[in-house]
Amino acid sequence: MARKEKEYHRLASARMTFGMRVSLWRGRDHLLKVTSSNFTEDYRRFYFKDIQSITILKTNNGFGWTVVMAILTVLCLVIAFAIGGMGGAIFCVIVISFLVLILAINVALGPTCKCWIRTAVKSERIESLGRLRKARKVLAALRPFILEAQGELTAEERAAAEAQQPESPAVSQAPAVATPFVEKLLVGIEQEDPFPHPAAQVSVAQPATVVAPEIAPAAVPPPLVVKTPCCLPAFCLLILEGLIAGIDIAAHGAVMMVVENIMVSALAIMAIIALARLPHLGITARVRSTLIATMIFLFLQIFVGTIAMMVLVAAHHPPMANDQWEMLKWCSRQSVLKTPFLLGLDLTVMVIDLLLGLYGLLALARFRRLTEPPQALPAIPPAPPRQES
Amino acid sequence: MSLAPTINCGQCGKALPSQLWNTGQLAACPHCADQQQVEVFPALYRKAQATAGEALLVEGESSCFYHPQKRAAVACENCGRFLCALCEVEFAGRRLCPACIESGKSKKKIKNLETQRFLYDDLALALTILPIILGFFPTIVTAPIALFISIRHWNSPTSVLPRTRIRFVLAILIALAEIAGWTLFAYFSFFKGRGH
Repeated sequence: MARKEKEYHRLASARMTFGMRVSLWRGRDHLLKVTSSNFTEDYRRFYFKDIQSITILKTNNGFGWTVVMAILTVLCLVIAFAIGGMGGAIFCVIVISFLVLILAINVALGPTCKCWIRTAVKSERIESLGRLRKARKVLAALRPFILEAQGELTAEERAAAEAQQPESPAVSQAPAVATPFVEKLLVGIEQEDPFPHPAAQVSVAQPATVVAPEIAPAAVPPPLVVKTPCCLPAFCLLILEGLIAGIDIAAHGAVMMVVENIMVSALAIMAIIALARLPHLGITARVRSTLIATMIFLFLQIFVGTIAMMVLVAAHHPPMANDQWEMLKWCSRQSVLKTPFLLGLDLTVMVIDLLLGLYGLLALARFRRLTEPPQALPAIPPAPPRQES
Repeated sequence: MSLAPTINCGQCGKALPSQLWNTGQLAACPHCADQQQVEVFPALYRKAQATAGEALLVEGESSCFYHPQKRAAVACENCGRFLCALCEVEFAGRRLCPACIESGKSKKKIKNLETQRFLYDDLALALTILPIILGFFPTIVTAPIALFISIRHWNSPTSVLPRTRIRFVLAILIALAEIAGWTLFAYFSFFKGRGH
């Protein structure tokens, strides 16, 4: 007995969004978006012949989760080191394993994205395509079906597509050459040409003496001017703070405590100014998220540090707990290497400060690389005349 | 004057230049510098075409069922009514009249027009499993209800996606086990208890 052919093929498995599960399926002539919630399934169909465009926007959500998980893992490691006991260590190992598993899955799935399908009447978000790699894979799988359903462009449509080209005098002077955009529109990416372009055919059939016209350089979009004030000093201070925390382990004293507190205050002020003046753009998301992580970490550092000091003083010298100046003096006299809690705290501060600082500098370098003005492509020299075979 | 179609950036909403379309890779938006890939298809340049039915030229020529003054172009593949070019609707590879499409939608005879389905198998399974998690006592009510739903909706359409009846089978088995458990509990509580 012949096996019944499946009506729908799964493109993307269900993804949870606000208590709903959204999945994507490919039918014979359409794409089906299924939203499941409360024992019902809602269906949205996008017929291949109606799909005008698919847009994939890369986002930084996955990266944010990676940073959060990495910080939590480091924190748990330090806590496990500070506690030292068997029970606490086992608990921390369980928590760390769980965090590392989530971190590994997140890293393995790759960068995140948002995806939209546009038809003549609406633009619909496809929630199930949340990872860039998957979205591009699905797009590659769908392209032949869409191109097959939509067929060839008419002369009028082709003219409209040609007119969409950026206005460039050199382009307008070379009408015989098929413009790259229209070629891509017709054949898709890395596909065989199912709709041969008449202009391209004409150029092949031309006599051998015809010299190919010079292709104009691509139009250069205006450079994006975005400034990142105070970001570089903030990340440099963060690295310096990490180094000072490292020195503090070996040479703890009143001077080091004062220097460290001044550094933390300066860093907090710098991070606040940088965050306030940083424009809210997608391109600055990485720098912004690093600054926010720095702010959160500074707050935790001050909060945990103060509590640690109070707990230590209350445990060793209860009458001193009311005098803050005495507390500070007592803390500056303690050896970090002999107090596991202080050692753990300093190690955490050192590792996270260095990680955040280095990552912030890398994010800043990437941001500058992306926003530097693009250089115009050089003009392609004219091809030599073809020899008649 | 025809307006050129535009594609807007997913982040800032401003129009993306056409150089960034169909590049096959991520490209930065010139306004917000967000990385995105835009794939454009021929439908972007296609205009919607509305065809008016042709007027009758000869007396006695087949006319549209809905527009008697228009010439019939095709027959509905469901009811056989003659239709003009205006009334003909091509749907899922078939040429249908508006009335057949409407009735197909209301009676759920055309699968591709359905926008929602209730999943009775999921409900039955949830009625058997959730009460166990919440505490076993609600199963005295939910187990018979789950059994009834499973039998009553055994042949009801479930999801349009590939799906077996395994949920119904599991719901029936678990519901029967729960009912059997309650029966045994009642037997040992009352009859055996009275005997002692």
